Amino acid sequence: MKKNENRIGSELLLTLPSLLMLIILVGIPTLIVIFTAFCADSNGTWKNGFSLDAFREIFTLYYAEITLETIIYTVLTTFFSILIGLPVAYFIARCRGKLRQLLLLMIFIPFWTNMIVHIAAWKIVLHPDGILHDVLVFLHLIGEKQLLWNTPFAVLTLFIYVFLPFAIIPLYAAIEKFDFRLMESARDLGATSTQTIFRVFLPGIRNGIASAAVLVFVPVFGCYIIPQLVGGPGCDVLYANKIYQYTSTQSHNIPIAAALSLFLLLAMFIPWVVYRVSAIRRAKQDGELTVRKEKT
Amino acid sequence: MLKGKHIPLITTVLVMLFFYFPLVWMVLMSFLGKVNGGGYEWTLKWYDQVFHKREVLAAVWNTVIVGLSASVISTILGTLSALAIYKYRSKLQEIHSGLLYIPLVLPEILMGLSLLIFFSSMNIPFGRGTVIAAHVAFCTSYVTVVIASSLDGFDFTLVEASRDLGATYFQSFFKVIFPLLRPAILAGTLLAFTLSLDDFIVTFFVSGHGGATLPVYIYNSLKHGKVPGLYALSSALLAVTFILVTISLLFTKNSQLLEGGENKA
Repeated sequence: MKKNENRIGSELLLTLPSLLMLIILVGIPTLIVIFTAFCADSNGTWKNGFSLDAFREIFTLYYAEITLETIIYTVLTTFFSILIGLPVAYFIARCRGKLRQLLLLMIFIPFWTNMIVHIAAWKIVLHPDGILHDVLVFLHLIGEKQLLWNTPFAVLTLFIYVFLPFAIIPLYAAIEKFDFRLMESARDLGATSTQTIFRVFLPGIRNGIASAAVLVFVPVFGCYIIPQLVGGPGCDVLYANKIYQYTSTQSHNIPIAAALSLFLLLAMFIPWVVYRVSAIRRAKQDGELTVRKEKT
Repeated sequence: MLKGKHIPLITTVLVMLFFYFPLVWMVLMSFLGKVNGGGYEWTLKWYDQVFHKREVLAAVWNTVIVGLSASVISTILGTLSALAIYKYRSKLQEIHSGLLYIPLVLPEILMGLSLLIFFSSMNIPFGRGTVIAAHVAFCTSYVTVVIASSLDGFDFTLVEASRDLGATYFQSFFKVIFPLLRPAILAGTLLAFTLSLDDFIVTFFVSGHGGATLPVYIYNSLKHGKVPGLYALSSALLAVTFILVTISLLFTKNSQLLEGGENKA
């Protein structure tokens, strides 16, 4: 009996510090966001009672357009990050020793560098007085007046630049574990190199591709700094920017910000759900395959 | 002749140029000054100017204090929680690990907004304290992941043996568990510090007027137009990140950084 009490005591001693911190700083604030979305007051206080105004406000064509635009940017970024990331991850995984270490370090540095630093660096390059602008004007590829900074092109470039490492790292982890003898045997059995890539290699690393997609999709959807600082007038408002705007002083409305972030959470689950469903379907297929194999 | 098998090599070279051209260019520009009558010269004047500004020094000081306190606190909490979750399989630990999982998957903007609403509804003044609290809230989960992964081969009979031999609870923690886990704990601290330095979104929401860290300061200057020396400041922050990442890659196993990395989003 005494031993049991002791056990519970030491469990609590180990658990309580972080559990209390998590309840106070993660659990309660997350619940407050949910409740705030149903407040009538623009400050998010409960004084004026329950309301669905915030949701009524965001179920409009305006928000549908912003959401669609954000999805386009997010999907394009995810697609290009995986497309560019695959050969890079493949190359690093096929390297050995010091070169591999060096390449990994070179991927980790931009990965861990603050996004603000990346934006500052690109501003020097793309700015009207910047080097890339000067070079392109010199080559007559763009006109003197044409902007590179403050364009959808700049926003997409920055998205890919910042989130490409998020794709390369899981892809590398998956390719590193991949058994390349499978590709050799496919070639020996007469597959063309295209067939080997699409029928053997890509299915073999599908989990890595799926995590790359999730790791790029989710933060891009919630990123407001890049459109805000890079987009300029015309493309500086994507979904997350609306959340930011409603928390700032000019158009202060906390319930709308809260309602928008709840939908952000929902959007975040889309790739998770797609990933889960396809994983289950594949597992079933694999199961059927093994069953069939056992029968024959 | 260009063959299909050269695609990975070529893409890697191009991607590295893409990654490093803007960064190297920024660092270069931070050491260059225009001379009267055209031309450029090497100079340290941007660094000199910017590190004499009172707000910049305050932001640097905030960044250091927040980084150190958040990484120490989250390392302590993360070590305890990793031990608790690994050792006990109870309903309480299910809730515990569920809560630990939230900061790993929650979009940063939502975490920032939730803490903003929470602190303002509690009438807690925004400043360095709220920034530290926010950083602890998300760093702890990463530290837990790093330490829990190193616990997989941990022999708890050693702890029991020390208790049987008469060690108190604290003695067995500091003399047995801590030395065995030291590499993982150091890796966790380093990860937490890097995360703290890397964060902008959550910090921005909870920093108020007094708690602005270096990234928040750079953001404000980028937003409100040109500030000479901004590139010097960004280059300095880049240099610190470079050093931290190199240290962690040299002194910890790749796998730990990878794990931290995979969970970072």
